[in-house]
Amino acid sequence: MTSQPLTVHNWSRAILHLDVDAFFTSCEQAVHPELRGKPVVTGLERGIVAAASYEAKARGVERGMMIPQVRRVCPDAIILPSDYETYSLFSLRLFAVLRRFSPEVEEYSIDEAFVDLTGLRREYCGSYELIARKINATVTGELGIPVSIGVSLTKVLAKIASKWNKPNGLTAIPGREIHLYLAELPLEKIWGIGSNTAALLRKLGVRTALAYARCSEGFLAKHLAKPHLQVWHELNGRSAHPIITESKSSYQTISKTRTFTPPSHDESFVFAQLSRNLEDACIKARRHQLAARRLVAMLRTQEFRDAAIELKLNRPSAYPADLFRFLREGFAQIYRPNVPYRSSGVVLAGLVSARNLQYSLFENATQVEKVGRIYQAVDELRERYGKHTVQHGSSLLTQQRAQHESERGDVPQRKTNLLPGENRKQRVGIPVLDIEV
Amino acid sequence: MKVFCKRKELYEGAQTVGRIVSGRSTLPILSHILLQTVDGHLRLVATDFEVGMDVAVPASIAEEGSVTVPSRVVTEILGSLPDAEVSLSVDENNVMELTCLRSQYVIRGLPSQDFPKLPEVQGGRSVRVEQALLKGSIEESIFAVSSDETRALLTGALTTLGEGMIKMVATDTHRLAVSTMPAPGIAISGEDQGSEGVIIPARALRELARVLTDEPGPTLEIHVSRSQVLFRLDGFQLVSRLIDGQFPNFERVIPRECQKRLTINTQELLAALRRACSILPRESPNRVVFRTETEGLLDITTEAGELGRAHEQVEVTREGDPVEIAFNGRYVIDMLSITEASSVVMELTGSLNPGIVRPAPTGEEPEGRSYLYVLMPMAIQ
Repeated sequence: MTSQPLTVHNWSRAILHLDVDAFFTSCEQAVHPELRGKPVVTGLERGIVAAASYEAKARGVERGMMIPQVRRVCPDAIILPSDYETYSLFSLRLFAVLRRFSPEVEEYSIDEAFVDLTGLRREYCGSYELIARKINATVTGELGIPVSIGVSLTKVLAKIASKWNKPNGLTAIPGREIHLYLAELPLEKIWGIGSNTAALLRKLGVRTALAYARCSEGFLAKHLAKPHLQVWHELNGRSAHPIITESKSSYQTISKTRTFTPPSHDESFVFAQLSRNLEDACIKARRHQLAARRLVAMLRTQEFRDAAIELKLNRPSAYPADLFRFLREGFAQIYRPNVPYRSSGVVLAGLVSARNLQYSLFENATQVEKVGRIYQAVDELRERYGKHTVQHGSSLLTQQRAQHESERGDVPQRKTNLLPGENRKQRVGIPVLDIEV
Repeated sequence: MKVFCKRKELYEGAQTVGRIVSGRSTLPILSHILLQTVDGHLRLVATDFEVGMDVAVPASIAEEGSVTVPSRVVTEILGSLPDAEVSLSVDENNVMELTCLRSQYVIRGLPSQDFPKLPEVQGGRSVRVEQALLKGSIEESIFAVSSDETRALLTGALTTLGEGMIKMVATDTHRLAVSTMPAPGIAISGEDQGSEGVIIPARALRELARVLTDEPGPTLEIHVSRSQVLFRLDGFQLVSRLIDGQFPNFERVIPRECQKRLTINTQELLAALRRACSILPRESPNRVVFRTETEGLLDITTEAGELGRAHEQVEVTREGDPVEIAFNGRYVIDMLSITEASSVVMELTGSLNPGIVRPAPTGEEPEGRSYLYVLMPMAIQ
């Protein structure tokens, strides 16, 4: 029974999953070659580990660990502030490399992609595994970051394959071999099966991924929901999750959150952070011509206690001037004096198209229109002179003090070592290698 | 309890009160209706604590008593039985046996003592008014009530029962309907309570309008106290909580003058708007642009993104400058579909100013009659 393959088709489709190993720290090691092979950690500005290199992980550093604890368990760790600008440039280049091999690329996250390779064997005169090797060589050669790759018949199987041998792994699972990989695989390792579903399945006598794949459809339909049935099809080599190639353009919510160090209990400073979050979220909403019907304000204390409040707006808007009234009201309800806060955030929810604005009888439509024109001008200035060229006074405190202020100077190097012609707000979109020539 | 009723009468009674019953109540008994023998009638009662309704059904009573039974099940059974006499008998364990010809159902009820009492409306102001007048007022205003539960004040209509007139006002902040009916036969007694107007929940008014007739019929009795209102007809009562608070100052938003005036045939405009809106997605805000580019014609356009667009023309008589304005088409349709006038007048100023839609005057309106519908425009872009 266990030796019987799940499908006789070896490559009815070929889906590749690529995952960058320790993405943030790998980028740092790519632009600072002297850091290769050393324990590197990012997240200094937030005070917790955002990413740790494999060398650091081997020494016991984990994601989410507090920085002082990192210093204890791994005293020689190199702890860097996060440089999201460089990471996102690496991400863009990674996807560009993949699109050279196949037009069907799904940008699943900043460092993960699915690529449909079906039918490309003739083009590359070799197996899917060989194409995967070429992709691996190109990415490591051009970007200098290590990746793990899995190739199989479906997205769920490709994900199992890429995790099979991390870091720097490459695993191809043809249809006839699926059962060999699933035989001992715990249920939680399947993409789409959470701990609760796994616990339920174990109570029903299903203990491994293979047992799950061999369940009858009727049995699963009786006990589980449709998404789990799709996972079951995928495990059996029948594709149920399509590759989504469009980049994301529709949003249900837009959120902007930032951490500030050191934590602050200065009321006007904390509100300024929230105000900045709101401005950032509104900029993004306006870029996509959306307007929010609800606004969520969040504050997180130094003890990681969250307070949040959702406010209903009287009409959809993406103009901070309209929303400040609600933000102040919400802030007054969740802010506690003398409590140090470490991060703030804003979520714009209930997004609708901004093009269908219905004016209200009880407010002045001319005024509403005027506000719209002001922000149009603000957006044009931003396009030309950089983000926050014009900003609200309530956000000003975030600029007078650095976001991350301490003796460590927690600003990524890319923002301090500028190229000629660059300034604090505008930089060219290329990662800069830190090499003395 | 043991009673005999006509199937049709019992079914209609159960259906009427059943509309008050909420499907998702946390209190099981609120999904029940109360059956009670009173003065040679079977009384059916339902409530959701906000609105309560009470209907009397003719019955021959063999044994007095009362019980509560699940509303939905009983109404469904009654709805599908043949037209014949129905017998209801209830034992001491609140188990009701429903028999009709060769059909027999046994339904487990709950004790009637547990059923919440309808609030008594005491003191206040008493009004007697012709049914058709109030029904007309409700129909002209109720659609403009807000469905947004977070703005409780706007989920009801401001109702004024004054000397010789009834006035009903409703708004959801995008539009405002003001209906004034002369009521020469209105009789008012009791305290001054409610002469300033009370906010009656739209739910209560909707259910009331279903029961009222358009024809001249018995007058409707209304009692208004500080927090409740009671409507009474022969064999029918509806009690509702009033919405507490200050209704927005609606007089302020009614434009006092206009620069442009369009007179349009109601049915032509309604048909054109319905067609033009039919291409818009269901959840969209139904933006319709009104323009007078050609003399004597009103251009009506809608844009449905990738799907396409619509362009309709209707004949118009225009006074003043050309018009360009966008409205939510659904809002205009709401008003056009209830008005009896053969043509309507749109009074407009700028594309950012509120406009008024009202029935075109025929010169035959009774003294004191007025109806106006104020609409706030949408952005044209």
